[in-house]
Amino acid sequence: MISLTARHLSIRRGGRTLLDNVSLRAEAGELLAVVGANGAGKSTLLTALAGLRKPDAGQVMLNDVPLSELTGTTLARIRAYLPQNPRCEWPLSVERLVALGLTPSLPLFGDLPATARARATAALADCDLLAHREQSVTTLSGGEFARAMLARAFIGNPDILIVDEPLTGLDPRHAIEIATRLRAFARAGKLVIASLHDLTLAARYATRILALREGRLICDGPSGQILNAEMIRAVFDTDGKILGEVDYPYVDYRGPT
Amino acid sequence: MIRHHAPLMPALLGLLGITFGVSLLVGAVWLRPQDLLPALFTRPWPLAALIVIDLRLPRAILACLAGGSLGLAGAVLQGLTRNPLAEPGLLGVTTGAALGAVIALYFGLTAAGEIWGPVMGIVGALGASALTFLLGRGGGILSLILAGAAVSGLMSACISVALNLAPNPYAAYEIMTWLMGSLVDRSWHHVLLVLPFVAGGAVLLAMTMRALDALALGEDQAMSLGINLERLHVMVLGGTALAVGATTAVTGAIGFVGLLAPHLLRPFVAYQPGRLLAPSALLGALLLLTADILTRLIQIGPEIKLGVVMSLLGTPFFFWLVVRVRRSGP
Repeated sequence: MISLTARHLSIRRGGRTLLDNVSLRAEAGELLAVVGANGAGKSTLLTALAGLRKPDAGQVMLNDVPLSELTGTTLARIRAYLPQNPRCEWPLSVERLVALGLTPSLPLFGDLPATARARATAALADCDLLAHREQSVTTLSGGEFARAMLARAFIGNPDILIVDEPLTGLDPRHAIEIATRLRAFARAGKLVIASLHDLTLAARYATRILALREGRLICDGPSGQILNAEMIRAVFDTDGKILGEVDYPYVDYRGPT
Repeated sequence: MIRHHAPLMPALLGLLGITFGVSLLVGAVWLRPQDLLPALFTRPWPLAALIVIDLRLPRAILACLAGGSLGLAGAVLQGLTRNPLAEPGLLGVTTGAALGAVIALYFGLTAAGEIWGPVMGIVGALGASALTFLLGRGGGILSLILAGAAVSGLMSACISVALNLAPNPYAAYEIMTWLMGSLVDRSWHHVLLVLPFVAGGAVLLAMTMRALDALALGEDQAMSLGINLERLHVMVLGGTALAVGATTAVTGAIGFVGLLAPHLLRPFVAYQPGRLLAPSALLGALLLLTADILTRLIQIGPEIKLGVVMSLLGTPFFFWLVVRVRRSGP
């Protein structure tokens, strides 16, 4: 079973501490929501967990192996990463975009092998994108583009998926749809780590919530248990209440104190 | 809509083959294919065969090597920077090559041996690219481009110094005409000199294919897909320095090919940066070969330089680009 462990991670940049002594352990089957105010260090934590950024102190271990000891390609086959607002800078077809997720296992030259095309077809079907296969990604709607990026992350069948703000900018229907897909991926025995702005969606879909404030980990626990008014105030400096039914909580913000 | 043109490569290869054949026939002495073919099989070689074998063949091959290098490097740099206006000179390689050759001209090394110009040019290109790499390393693509611009500026400044301090007007004239680019009087020595560099450079550049594709997703995602950006920069810079540096050292500065070729072909490869490389190299070779034929066809007083013809052909493209951007713009 795959696990990701951060030990005393600290990251500094330009005299500012972005991440301050963060330790955590996440295992397969979890959908870990990282929440926090703007600038709390969510993206920094995710890039460090993804192995894209070397911590100034501490380390991240995949099972018992430090990420720094893995090659880029090995790591790329195990974990997928989507940054905040992912882009595609050329008007590629949806199929080609999705197939880029197979980069670590493609041969050095030549067109896509048949196996890669078959996997692309499967990934497109999974994300309901078959109809858009040959369409240029620049002509996709925001929701379709988010799905295409998710398909690009799923296609390599990674054990770990790290996504930065996957729901930002999506309308409610598409936000719920993407959140449902992330949860299904976690239930299929994968580890999903996502930073989220929306506490309601975090409460409903994540198995565990982890809150950052000024680079420090201030709370970490099952989403059903740790969400309460004090936590909201500690994380966001805002009063809030948890309303709704037991399985369908929603967070109502009441403005700053 | 995405266009699929499967026969792009055969079409380009066919055109290149035809143009290559034509370039052997055109010049001060016009040859007819039906005269040339028997001449090649006559011993000793008659004049027609000598003209082709000693003069036009190396020249045509050099045009292909130079144009191909420019087209390939242009496609790689546009893929790397994800900017359709990037060109092979971006990293300071071409001005480095030019400076090397100018130094050879300035100090009269070329008088000691024709080959010193290209040799110094290659030294200049490799030196400039090393400087760009050392200056811009570790800071992502932006710092690499900035370093390239700085090095390019430095090399241009040094060329201006050479022009400024030229001991006599003739030396300045020699430098100026060299800078305009030409394939006149290039021999098999030049072909043999640049061939290993072009081959090595082309291999390095071709190996960036997957990384360029992945970079369509931005640097973060490319890294997450296992692309080592530092290694990629070394390959692009090294490949460009070897291929474009060496050919520029022999032909002089030639603009637009590296910009035009990838840009024109992008829609035909469904905008895939990696798939653009081979066709772009072929189109680059085709463009330069055509321009070289034009230099032989246009007979207005002194020889018109290859780089000048290429600029004249290339600038209308910019006008077209402006018109197109205006139409599709806000």
